[in-house]
Amino acid sequence: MLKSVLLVRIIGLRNKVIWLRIISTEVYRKYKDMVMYYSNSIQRDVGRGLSVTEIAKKLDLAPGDVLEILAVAEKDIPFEEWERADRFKARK
Amino acid sequence: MDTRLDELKRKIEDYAFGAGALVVGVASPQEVAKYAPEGHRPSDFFPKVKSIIVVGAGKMLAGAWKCTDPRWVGVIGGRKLKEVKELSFKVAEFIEDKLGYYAVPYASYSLANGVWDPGISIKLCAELAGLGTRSLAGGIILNPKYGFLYYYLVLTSAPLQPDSPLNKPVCPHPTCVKMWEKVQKTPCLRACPECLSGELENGRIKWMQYNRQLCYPRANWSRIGFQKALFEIINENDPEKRKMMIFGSTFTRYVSAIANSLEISAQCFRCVEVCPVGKNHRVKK
Repeated sequence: MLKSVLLVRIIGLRNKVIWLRIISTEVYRKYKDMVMYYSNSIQRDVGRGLSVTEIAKKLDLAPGDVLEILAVAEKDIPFEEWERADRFKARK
Repeated sequence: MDTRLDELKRKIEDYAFGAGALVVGVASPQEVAKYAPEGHRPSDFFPKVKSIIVVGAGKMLAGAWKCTDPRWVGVIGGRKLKEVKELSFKVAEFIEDKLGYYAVPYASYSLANGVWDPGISIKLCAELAGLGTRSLAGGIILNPKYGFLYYYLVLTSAPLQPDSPLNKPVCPHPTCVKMWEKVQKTPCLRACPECLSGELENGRIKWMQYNRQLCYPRANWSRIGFQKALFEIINENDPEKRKMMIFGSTFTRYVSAIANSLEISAQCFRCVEVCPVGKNHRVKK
């Protein structure tokens, strides 16, 4: 199995060590589309989206891996989409 | 029928309506657990739960739809959502203080665990409590009388008689069925063809799909938008340009949006605005 969730050490205020959980980019690229497909991100009338635990079981990943993949993938939309959305909402 | 349970339920309903609820229903945690996956069942969150009270309110001010700035609906919506949240707290306190049972309010639209993976589905609870049915408009629960409302849950150890789901789906509205027969569109599908897709057949929803990921930038861009903008700013090498980005109007709105839920950058409501269900509440003199 690929090494998935990594802890990144960063130095915060007053030299305090902070650990950030991140998903390895390799694992992210490999599973992103499948995780999004099974999640609630695209909701279809046929059945519900799977929970993080259910997706993890289906893809043989740890739930923590799926959580991190989902957290990044949900925001992994081109920034232009936000500008486009603003124009869409401003239209009467 | 247990009259004691009915009496208990009536007291809670009376209090909730008096405190501002427009609709109140009770769902059975066992029924919810039949549909919800492990880890997302009411007892996973509150092991003492015997009943789920669903309170709905937050009907939009009709005037908000008439403002020249369409995003003003989002401003009012933020306030309305807060009202329903406060209502659920009041109901929980009433149950504990006056009836002597455990009670806890619950809302699932927070970013628990950093992803949109709600602990308990409020939509499912509202459906099972008979308050509405899912719509073509992103699966939003439409109440037959009011259309779109905000819902909060109160999980309690009080044993209450559960309500039944509605027999007839609220969506599609008869006028949407007529429109579909003519142009193969409904008002919501036409308003937002990117987030929403679906088809009607014999006056019912044949299939529907909601692209929530695309709805983020439109309806939920406050928090995620801030992260997206921050990412762009960090990647900008020119310090002068970086300054313009940070102090500029767009990023200022992002910052304001995460600090204040009433900021105008969040919410969209385009699919709700055109929905005929509950439209009579959007028309005034």
